[in-house]
Order: sequence, then C-alpha cells, then structure tokens
Amino acid sequence: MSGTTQPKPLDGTGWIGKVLAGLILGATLAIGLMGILGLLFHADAQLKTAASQILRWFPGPVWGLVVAFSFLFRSPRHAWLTLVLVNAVVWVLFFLLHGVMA
Amino acid sequence: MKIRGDVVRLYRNVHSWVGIMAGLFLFIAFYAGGMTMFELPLGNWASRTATLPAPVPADRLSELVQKAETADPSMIANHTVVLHPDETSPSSLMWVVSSDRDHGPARTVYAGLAADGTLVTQTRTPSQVGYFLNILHQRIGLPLNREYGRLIMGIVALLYAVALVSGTIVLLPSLVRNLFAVRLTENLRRMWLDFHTLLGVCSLPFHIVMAATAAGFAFHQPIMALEKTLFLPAVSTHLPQKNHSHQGDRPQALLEPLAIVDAFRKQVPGLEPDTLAYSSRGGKLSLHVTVQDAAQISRRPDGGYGEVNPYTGRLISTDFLPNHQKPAFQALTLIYALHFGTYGGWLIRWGYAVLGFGGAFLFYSGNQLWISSRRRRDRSAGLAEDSFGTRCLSALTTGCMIGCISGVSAVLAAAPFLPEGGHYQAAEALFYAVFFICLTVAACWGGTRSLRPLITAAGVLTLLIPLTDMTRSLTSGEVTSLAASVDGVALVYGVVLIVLALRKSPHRRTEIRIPVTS
Repeated sequence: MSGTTQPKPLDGTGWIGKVLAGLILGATLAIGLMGILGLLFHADAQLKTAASQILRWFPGPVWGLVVAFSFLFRSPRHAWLTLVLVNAVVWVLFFLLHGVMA
Repeated sequence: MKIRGDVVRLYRNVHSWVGIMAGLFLFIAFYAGGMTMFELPLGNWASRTATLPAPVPADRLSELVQKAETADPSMIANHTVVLHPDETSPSSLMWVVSSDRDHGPARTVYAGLAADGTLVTQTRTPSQVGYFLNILHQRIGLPLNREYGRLIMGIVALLYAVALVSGTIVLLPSLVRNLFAVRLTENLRRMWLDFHTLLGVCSLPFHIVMAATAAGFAFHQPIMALEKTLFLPAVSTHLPQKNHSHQGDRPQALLEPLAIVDAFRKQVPGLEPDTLAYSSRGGKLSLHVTVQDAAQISRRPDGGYGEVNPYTGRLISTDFLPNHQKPAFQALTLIYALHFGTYGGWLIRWGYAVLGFGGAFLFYSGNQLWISSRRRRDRSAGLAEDSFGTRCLSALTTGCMIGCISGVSAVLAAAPFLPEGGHYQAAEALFYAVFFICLTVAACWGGTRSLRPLITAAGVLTLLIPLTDMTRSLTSGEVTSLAASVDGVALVYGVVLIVLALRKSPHRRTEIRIPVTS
C-alpha cells in the first residue's frame, strides 16, 4: 500500500454526518443533474420521449455513488460544504438553462 | 491498483455493516428474482390448460370474435386474439372480466367454437403463483403494498449500491492475488471469505446492472413526478396526428383479425404477429400487435409490440417493436432487457437465473462470513458463548434464507392442488406460514443448530413438487413436456438440498481450536 499523503488517516468518525450529507444533498444533486440532462436532450414533461424515460434511471445510481463515496470526506463539515457548493452550481445551471430554453 | 490502507479499512467496515443490513432482503430478492426468469412457464405449468376451449382455424377467427361480441358486448374493450395457440395457451380468444390487476393475471374468459359453430366459453383465473414470486422479488420479501414496498425496496437498492462500491474498493488492491485462491482449508472463515470474493468478482457486472436498474424501478413514481415539474412541455408536433384521430371519432367497424395480420406483415416484413391485444383507455380502443422472438431484445418476457390502428391496420408506433426501434428507444428497451434478461433467448434467461441464485448465495456467504468473524472476536475476548448480536444474526440468517427457500418450494408444491393453480392470497398465506415457521425454529434452536434440519425440510418440500405434480398428471392423464421439465429440475434441486444437509462437516469443531492470529 502506498504511504499516507495526508497527515490524518481516514476512519469512521463522523460517519453519520457524512452519510446524511450524501443522502440528502446526493438526492438533490442527482435530481438537478437529471434536470440539466433532460433540458439538454429535450426530454418532455409529458414523458413521451425516450430521453425522459431513460433519464428515470439516472438519479438512482448517481445518488448511490454519492452516498457510497461520502465516507471519503475529511469531516462532516467538509462533506456538507462541498456538496452544498456542487448543488448550488448544478441548480444555478439548471435554472439558467430552464430560463434560456423556456 | 493502489488504494490507501486507511481507505480500505474504512470501506471494509462500511461493507460489512451495509451488507448485514441489506443481506437478508437481498437474498429473498435474488432467490425469488431468479425464479421470475421462469414466471411465464411456471404460470403456465401451474394453470391447467387442457380443459380450455380448443383453438379455431385462422379463417374462423373473425366469426369467433363476432359471436363473442354478441354474447358479451363489453369484451371488445379488453380482448386478445391468439394467432398461434399452443399447449400452454390453447384458446384462440380470451378477454379479461375483472379489473383487479394488483394480484396478477386477472379473471379471464377463454372462448372457442363448438363443432356446430356455437360459442363455448370457460371462465377462470390463471394461476397467480408465478406473479406472487415476482411480487416477492419486487417487495424484497416484505408483505407491503405497492407504495411502501417500492420505497423500502429503494432504500435496500441504495444500501446494495453502497455495498457494491465498498466491496469493490476493499477488493481492488488484492484482486489478482486473492481472486482464484479458494482455500478449502479447515478455517471456515477463510473459506467463506474466498467464496464470497470469487462469487462477488465474477458476478460484479451483473450486480452493477441490477443495482442501477433496481434503483430506477424503485423510485419510478417520485422521479416521474419530478420530471413533470423539471422538464419543459414538449413542442406540440403531434397536431396533424390529432386531426387524424379526430376523423376516427365516427364509429367504424374493427378490421378483421386476419386483415390486421396481413396489413402488419406488409408494413413490417420479417416479423410474425403472435397476438393481437386490444385494450381501451379513456374510451379509445388501441391495439398492440405482439411479436414473439426470444432472441430479440425486448422490453418484457412476452416480447415486443407494435401499436396498430385497429380500424385501418396502419402501424402507428414502432417504439417498442424489435428491429424497428429508433436508437433512443432501443436504449430504453435495453435497460428493461438488462434487468429482465429478455435478450438472447433462453440461454440468457438460464444464465440470469444462475446469476440470481449465485447472488443469493453471495449474500448468504456474506452473512456467514460476518458471523464467523464475530465468533472469532467473541472467543478472543474470552467469551465461551456467542454474544447476543451474533446469536440474533445467526438465527435470522438461517431462518430468513432457508425459510425463503422452503416457502417458495411449498408454494410450488401446493400449486397443483390449489384451486385454479393457486390464487395470489393462497400463495402468499402459504409462503409466509412456512417462512415464519422456519424463522421460529431458527430463533428457538439457534442459527447453527437449526441449519441442517431446516435445509432438510427445504429439500423435502422441494421434492414434494414433482410428487404432487405427478399425482395431478396421473389423475388427469395429462403429462406435458413443461411439467416433466419442472419436475425434473425440482427433483435434482431437492436431492442437492438434502445431500447438503446430510453431508458431514468437519469444520465446526476445528474452527474453535484455530489460534487467533490478528
């Protein structure tokens, strides 16, 4: 195994906070990304197009991956801050796109 | 591949806890899911079809439909014309008479023509046993309704995803070194670990596909609601079509079955229509022409379909018609096909069943692994007996998992004697009765001590399947190839279970003597 590059090795401390961040903000992130992709691929709100039906399988895996990797954050605080930031970027982008395309 | 040691240690912990939480549910989901690969044949096996009205020749199909409509005008709204009747679906015409779709195949009228040309019908419910196994799979073994069952299933799918990611991370650094080193040593824990690793790595792609698609199915409803608010409404490009349907409002005569078949063959050469399924939504009659080709990638086990105008025979939509789909719909169909194993014919379905049962065994081995390491830790801490947690998990593992196997076998064994091949409620009651008996036995005797008796019971129940089925076949004088193959598989499976239960195990005693090293 390679030597540790960080001063403090990762362990299970604060896992509840990290997992909660992954669970809550991972869900909003996955939905935001689905929204952006839906706008880009012209998925319709009537759910008739293939794009809108395929995108239904998109948030689940993304959410699962975010939860699974949320253990890697250095601290719960770090987890919440990072995910809030990413969420903000994604949702701002979504509403910009929504405004432009509507 | 190099991953930091602390990360691997962290994820080993995550993997074992998540695995313990989801393992019992996933065992039932995978065991019943493997069974659903054969939902249609099992349903046909459990339904007795020999007494149904005989098929009519193709040129009398329209006469049959007309006579049926005169007898019951409401049948038009929901009827199916079977173009290629066979042993398992012998009648040429059937229609559904109840709207209870929650319990699987609905009450159905099967119609045919007598020698003198009069209409003969028989009304019954097809066996709901196959559907019960499917719902057991979808609700991961919990008797919940659609709404809550789906959500719990979503949570378990999420845990499953986390377990997959963490398990892969734990394994990556030592993958090549440990993969094929199955050490059949005296050390029980080592053996479970090696089996668990080998099974996990070999079926990883299958498990990734299942976790990803299952999450999609579980969160279907909430995601649909979100899509409706997030996405923009479609630009109305369907205006000309709307006008067209407006013209169709005036009452017209339905095209005859053979005319539909001819029109379909002309529009899509190379595909042979299998059934004409009429259904109505909001007063508007629509027609799905299904095509049966097992080797095609299709959305559902009963094949792909094209939507056809029932009055003109014109093909309206090829979105789900094999070989005629647009790439995007092909991709959508592939998502379904990857979960249901509906591509590449029976070879893939058997492969999926094996992977499903293998997956169930993966979760069994995971739980056994957890129990043996807990036991080892209890011993090194100086405990002579298992701690409470170890006892609980041991009893739950044996009770739930062997209970699931016994319950499914009991349902299939009872199917030949249940009225109409087993209604949903009967199958459900029987399954949970057997399941809870097994769980109680495991709770009273402890997981380790009850393991062999319970596996024996599961084996005996499985051996009852060919016994009851042969009894039924002998009394009715009807032996089909389908019944023979179901009996054969059940016979081999039951014998394997009993051999497993009676086999001598040298492990249990030696394991306690192994010196604790770490």
